[in-house]
Amino acid sequence: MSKRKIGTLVFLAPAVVLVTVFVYMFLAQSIHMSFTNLRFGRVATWIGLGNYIRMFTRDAAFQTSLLNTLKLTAVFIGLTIPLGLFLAILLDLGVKAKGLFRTIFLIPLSFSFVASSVMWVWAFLPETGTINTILRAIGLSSLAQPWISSGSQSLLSVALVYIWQFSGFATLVYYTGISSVDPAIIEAAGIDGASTWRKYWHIVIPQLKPATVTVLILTLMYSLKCFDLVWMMTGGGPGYSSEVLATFMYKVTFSQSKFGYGASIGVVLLLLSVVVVAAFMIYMKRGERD
Amino acid sequence: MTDSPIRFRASRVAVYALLILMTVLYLLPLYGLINTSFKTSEDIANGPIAPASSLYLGAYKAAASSLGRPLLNSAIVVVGATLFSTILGAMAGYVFSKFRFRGSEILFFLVILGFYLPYQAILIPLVRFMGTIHLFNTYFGLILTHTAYGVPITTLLFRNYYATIPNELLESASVDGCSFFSAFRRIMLPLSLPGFAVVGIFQFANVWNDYLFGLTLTQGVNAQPVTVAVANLRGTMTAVWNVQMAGAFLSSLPIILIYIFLLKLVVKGLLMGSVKG
Amino acid sequence: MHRRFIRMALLGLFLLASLGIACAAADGYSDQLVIYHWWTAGGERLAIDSIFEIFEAAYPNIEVVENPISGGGGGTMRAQIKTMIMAGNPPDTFQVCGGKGMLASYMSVLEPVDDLWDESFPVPDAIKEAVTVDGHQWGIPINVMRCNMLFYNEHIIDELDIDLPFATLDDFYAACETIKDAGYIPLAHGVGAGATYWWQLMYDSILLAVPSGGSEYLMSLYAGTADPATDPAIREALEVLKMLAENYINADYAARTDDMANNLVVNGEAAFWQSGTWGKGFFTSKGAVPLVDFGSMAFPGTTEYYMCHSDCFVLPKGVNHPEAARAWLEIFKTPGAEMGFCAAHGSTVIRTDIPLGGFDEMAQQFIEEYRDPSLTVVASPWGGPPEAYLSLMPAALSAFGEHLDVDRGVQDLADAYADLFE
Repeated sequence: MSKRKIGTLVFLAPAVVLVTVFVYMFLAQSIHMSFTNLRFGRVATWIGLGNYIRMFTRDAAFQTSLLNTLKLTAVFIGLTIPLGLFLAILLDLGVKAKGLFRTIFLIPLSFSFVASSVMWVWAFLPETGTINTILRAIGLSSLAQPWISSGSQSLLSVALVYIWQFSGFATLVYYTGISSVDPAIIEAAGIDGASTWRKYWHIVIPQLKPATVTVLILTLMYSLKCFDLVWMMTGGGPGYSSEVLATFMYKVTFSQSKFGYGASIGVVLLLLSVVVVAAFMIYMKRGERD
Repeated sequence: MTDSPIRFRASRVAVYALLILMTVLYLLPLYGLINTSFKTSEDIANGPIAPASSLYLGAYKAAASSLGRPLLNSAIVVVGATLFSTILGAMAGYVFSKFRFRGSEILFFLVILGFYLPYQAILIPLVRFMGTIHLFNTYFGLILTHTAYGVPITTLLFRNYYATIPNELLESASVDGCSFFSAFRRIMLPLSLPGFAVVGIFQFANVWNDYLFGLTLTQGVNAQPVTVAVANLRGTMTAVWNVQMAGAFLSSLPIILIYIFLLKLVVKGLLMGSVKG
Repeated sequence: MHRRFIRMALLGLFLLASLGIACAAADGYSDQLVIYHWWTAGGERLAIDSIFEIFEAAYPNIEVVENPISGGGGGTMRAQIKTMIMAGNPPDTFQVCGGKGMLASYMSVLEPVDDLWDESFPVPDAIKEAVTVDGHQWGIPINVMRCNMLFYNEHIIDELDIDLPFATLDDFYAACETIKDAGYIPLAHGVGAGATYWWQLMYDSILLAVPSGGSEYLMSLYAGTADPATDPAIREALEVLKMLAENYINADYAARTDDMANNLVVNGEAAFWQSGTWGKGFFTSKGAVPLVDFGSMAFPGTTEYYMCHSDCFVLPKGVNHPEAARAWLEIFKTPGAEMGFCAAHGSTVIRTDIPLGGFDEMAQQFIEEYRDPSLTVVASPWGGPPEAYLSLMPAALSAFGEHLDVDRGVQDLADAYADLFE
């Protein structure tokens, strides 16, 4: 075998073996569980697609969780990407103490969800919380919201916390991308009389496609699977207003002891991710062909 | 520091003002945390906004006494898992970015997909497997688990990163007679510094903040990570906020220090990259 | 070259170290007790520690591998237990709320402990009955906690000269009006951070108080034989909740955690707070003095009922250390363990042979209520119904708290109930 083939094998083997065992082997067992009505402490019987039929036809809570997951994903991606890009550009504009700001923006990422959830539960309190108190103090009391105490805003409030936690990393990825742009091209544009705005919009940003893809895939992962913050901040409530697929799966599996049904929800969550990832892979491939 | 070639036309004050505003917004939630960590139990009843009556250190002492061993555990697991998942990701990412072979697209897709696996769905097979290979409640068991679930994302990040390195570099190397391995060692690795640092930051955060695997795969305090220990600083039917907040703050300090260190590497790497001939 | 070799060597050493440290077994112990519970901090922590002291003194050769897991009112711990049992690695013993429904949910993976229920364990029949399913006992309890209670701020009650206890809900409403007029919040409430079971506690207590409700109805509800879609008690209780939510409960209850709700009473901003007897610990941890700053009484309209559950430990099937597990259960039964535990935990002792001497006045009051034969013992939402009750039903109630539409509330509860007992 050529050195190249050996090299490819050696370099791929560890990663592929690990993923095969820890992802696909375990997944197979979970998929098998999803075709049964396994409950804790009981013997399971095969029910084929019974769980899947039930979730889409009879389970309103499941349908709400699915919708909420999609909503959360949209909000999270829709705000994190522009925010990360915006901050990266600000940093790129020749500010001193860039390192300090970059560290500060990453600090939210250093907090575990236990700490973040407590911080934000307090910040979001309608009467005495930090946010509303400050809004009232600076005369913007009309902007004070019920946040997580209301069913209409609970999901959005949780989304805000995820954005807070993760956008610093998006900033970092974008900043790295911006710094990799060849300075010569920008010099040339400057000589041609392009304004700062134009330079960014027409030269730098198009080169950020790989960075955007990276950020997108990461944010998609977080938002589709998100469990910890939602669980600790609202528990899915009030009612099912902030229930997402991951929290619903947890409740069904562990609080209601329906392991078979819970596994099927997990499979649906994974399938949802497959569709999205496949879409992006195709987009990436097309981008590279240009 | 890299000086941007885009000359500064916008008002410098405006940019600084915006950055400071963002800083305040990012750090605002910390106020409640830090404030409460210095409160006595009586103070806590006054609510999260009211400032602590004094710099009471009892909460920090109590938290520190419970977090000693868990901090060590987390450190060992994080370093091990980050090292392994980063190295394996760099290796696999190199192959996927530079070498096409039959099925490489599908294989890459399947590896990335692991990233989206909802972990609650595989807890039972995971615990069973760890028991079978006698790695339940061990450091190596946790490291192996985190490595396996970190590989999909590190592979993706490195693959995207290496894709930005022009193929001509490798082609000229192979003309010079460089083998697969030495091409990786001599050309790709030196250019990987920012990649390693960025991936490192992500993985450190991921593994350090993990709660689910730490809870599921450890028993007792010997291998328990700091996230589980901090979560246990609250009672189930009582809340001991000040100790909990002190613990949360203490447990985030090491990771912030690592960020500062790794960010320096990012900058260094970017500098190296921009000076390429 | 040189540097790389050093780096590889360090890596290798690190690997060995991590393998080594992890595999190091405990020395000097001949046996192990792998135990799970949720008493992670505060008074609860001190309580379980006192029993560990007794255990370790009696069995110095057994290593106690303790796994306290906080969160979800015990739910997180139970989730971990289920994972381990289903993966074939059961812990030697774990904590559970004692009650027929809860124990029935776990029965198939437990061993009965009938033989431990002998003369050395003098406990009233009602408590024994609560852990009995299919003629066998499935757990060893250590305490009892009354759930249908109402705590109040003594100073506000004295100031407004309010008559306690409340024989009916109407008396309660009248008092709330007085309190509201004086500028205080009548009823503090907090279900934040996912702790919606506080809604269930209030609702089930109300079910005892409403005309069509009562202990027999509640028992039928927990047993699965009720019909929430048509039973009048369900509707009446929702009307009461609506009355309370619209007029007397703080508006931010959905964001406030239980601890923050308790703060309102401690600070003198609110008069009442509904909690089981464990609520005493919330007050005392903030420096409030029982019967001086705060007091307790039965929930309005439920004075003749003693709605309660116990904390129990159980014996799973196929454990790795059966002798250690049994040793633990034996220690758990003893008067010394019970006294030390309950004094720190704030719950009520169950053994009939324990004197009142070692407890403060409020705790003594609790014990006297427990020993009062005229009260009807009723199961609580924590032990009575199957485990999933506390996951399915509160969601309907927390949604109700927002829309306050009784018809919708009845429908949601009926749907959740059907899901629970299908």
